[in-house]
Amino acid sequence: MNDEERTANFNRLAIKYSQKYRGKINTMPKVPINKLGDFSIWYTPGVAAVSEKIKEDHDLSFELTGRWNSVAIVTDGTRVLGLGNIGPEAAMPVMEGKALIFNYLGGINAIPLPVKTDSREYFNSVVRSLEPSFGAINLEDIESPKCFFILDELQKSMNIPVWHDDQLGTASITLAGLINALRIVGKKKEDVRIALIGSGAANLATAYLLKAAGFNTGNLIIADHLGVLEPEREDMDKLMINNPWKYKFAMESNRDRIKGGIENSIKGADVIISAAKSQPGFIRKEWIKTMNSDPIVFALANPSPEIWPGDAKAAGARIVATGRSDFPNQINNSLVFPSLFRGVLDARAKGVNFDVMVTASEEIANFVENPVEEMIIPRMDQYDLYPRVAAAVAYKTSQLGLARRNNSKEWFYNNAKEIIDFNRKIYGEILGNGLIERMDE
Amino acid sequence: MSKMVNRKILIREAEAGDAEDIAKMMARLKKLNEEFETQFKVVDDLDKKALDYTNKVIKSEKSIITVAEINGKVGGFIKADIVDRIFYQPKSELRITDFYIMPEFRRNGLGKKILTDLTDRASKNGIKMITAEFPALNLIGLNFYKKSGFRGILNVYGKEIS
Repeated sequence: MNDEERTANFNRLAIKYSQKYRGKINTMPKVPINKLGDFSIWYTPGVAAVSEKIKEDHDLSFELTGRWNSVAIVTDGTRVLGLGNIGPEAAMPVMEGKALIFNYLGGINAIPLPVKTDSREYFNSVVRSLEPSFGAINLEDIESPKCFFILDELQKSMNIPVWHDDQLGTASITLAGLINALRIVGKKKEDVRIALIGSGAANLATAYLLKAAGFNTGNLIIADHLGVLEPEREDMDKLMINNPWKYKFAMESNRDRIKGGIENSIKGADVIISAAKSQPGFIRKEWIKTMNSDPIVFALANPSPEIWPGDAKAAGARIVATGRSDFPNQINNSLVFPSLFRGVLDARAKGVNFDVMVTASEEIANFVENPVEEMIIPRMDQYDLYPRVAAAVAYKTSQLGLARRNNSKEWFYNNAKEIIDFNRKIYGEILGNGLIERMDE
Repeated sequence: MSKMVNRKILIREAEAGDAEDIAKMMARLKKLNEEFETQFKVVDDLDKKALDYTNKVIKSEKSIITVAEINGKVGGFIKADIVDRIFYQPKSELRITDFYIMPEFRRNGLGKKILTDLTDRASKNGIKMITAEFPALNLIGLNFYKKSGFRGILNVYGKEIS
């Protein structure tokens, strides 16, 4: 099957099985119910005593209810996958899929919550009001730059971690891949010049994460459909009002004040990180030839990268990564969010920040023992990755004073591993004895 | 921004040779105003209009226009008109109509310096009152002037006529 046939087949199966299974997740009791009288413990009258305790100390809701392991996946459906503004109802299948990955890889109960509103204030108000029910919030598929305003406002006003995976998840796994890519070519983060092609949610968050990780901001050059971002560009005032994050970076980045088209950002660069356009050939082979020695090319657009890996290599790229699973080096959020959330939940964290993300990225990078050109990040089926990253995240949260629960890294590792393994064991049992019917093709 | 640490700032009256630099910033300012208010939709030949207007006001006796040079490069300007007041005292005011600083030079106190310099010039000319006009929704401008001791003294409301 070629790429198109393969995609068409996935589409057909997705419709077929959505009709068959009607939803991807479920709620199920996790306590014994031996007789109906047990409800006097799990529900009234006994439960009132538990409520009384939490009333006295709200943080006990993390210990006496399932809050500690619950995440809300909230979207307004304004930028779903590459489909655009398809609305909250149509966003649900995607959010359910996300919940499935949260559960399978992170052992987390994630609840999909697409919200119907055009108002940023109303959306924020809804999310804020969810705080007592969840240990963390995952924002998903919200259009840019609205997503930056929302994330900023919610992170400042909530006492649980708020994460926007399209920004932060992508940025974290990109950094992880880059750390190993630079190890292979023997270059230092302080020295490398990086062309960030595309200035959407993912690449802008990557730019800020690179700064937090110690990359030299002056060596970062962002380019988008209007060309290289620099302070004298015509649209700068518009950005100041509508996208202050992009505006701010225009001032800090591009120390040499390079101007002009995308190709000018690539000339002499050590690294390309492109999250721009799903169009092979968008990044031209001749541009790669103008890069510094041992070019690193991350072409991350989905479903098709901005340059095919073969073309990039033929033009001299030493390391190539894409967003696809059928090429080496898949830059994939699923390597980050299940374990990052496992970590912040286990620490009962009050928030998450770039420092925590840098730790997660470093742990993911270090997981690859001997990085080589075709293996700069772990594979999804390397299951020990998840508790390891969770432990690193939880411990870092604790070090930063963001945790409600503090413990050693080893303790956090064992705790995360136990939760994830147990969850997968239960699921395996249900699947194994046929209670969840197998797919027939 | 480390680049800014050793910068040399000179604020001076604009000369004919500054017209192109000022016109470029004038056009950017008008485009910025367009972001706040549909009634400020810019004309198609904005660049030409901005240059003509700038050339005119540089020569005008009834306007003051100064530029800020940062390390020798013109990076901001302010333009104000001397307005006669028939019914009120004091009898004249200096009204700022155009004020723009290139993005790179913002947030470093340059705006305050330019405004202080203009206020000093007004004072030396015996003008006792300074005002500023800007789009109602320009909150950045509003905060700047409030911080500089200005208060709202006149409302200008508008609507479309069908």
